Amino acid sequence: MLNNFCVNLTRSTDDPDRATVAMVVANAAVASGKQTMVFLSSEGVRLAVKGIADQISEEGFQPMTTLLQNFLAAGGSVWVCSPCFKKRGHTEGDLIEGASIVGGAKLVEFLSNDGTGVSY
Amino acid sequence: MRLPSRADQTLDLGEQGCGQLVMELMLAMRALAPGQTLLVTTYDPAAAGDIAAWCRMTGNTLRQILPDSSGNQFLLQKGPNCRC
Repeated sequence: MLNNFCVNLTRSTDDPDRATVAMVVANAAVASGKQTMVFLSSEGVRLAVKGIADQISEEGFQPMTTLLQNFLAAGGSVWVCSPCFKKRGHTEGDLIEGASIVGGAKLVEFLSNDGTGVSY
Repeated sequence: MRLPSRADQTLDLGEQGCGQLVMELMLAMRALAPGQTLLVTTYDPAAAGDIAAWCRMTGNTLRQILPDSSGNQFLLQKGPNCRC
């Protein structure tokens, strides 16, 4: 059974429903014993900016801040697409605790090592 | 057989489902020792499939499904090599 699980998320406040569902699935994966990584790319990188997750709370789901905190506390990783982050004028100092900026090679390595995933 | 009354721990998940459900399962199971049992009550319509899949992935056992009047109850047993 594959053990590396990636949730690729390209949305944030521009599509809070999709972003929330992605994080719910990420929580399911990490709680199921998978080495789980959320890869934030395109608009998704804004979720890794301090204060942005606080703006997302979809009816019927836990608030985004809670989903992120639970995910990180359970051992999940949040990787942020470097060029996507830079393109939007952000720097490392803007990052929420627990997130890290990575390049494409890290994503390819993660998925190539018995990995699979889902994209939102 | 009255297995539910002999469960080592109980967990009422209400209507929580999907990622929130399995996150709560993981946290509850972490607190148990191998061989101990957890009686889960849930009203989420997808819970039966999710709990069975979660047990297969994490090395735990779904011992019994006990329908009750308004939801379902699931008796889980922590495996010796639980991955949670």
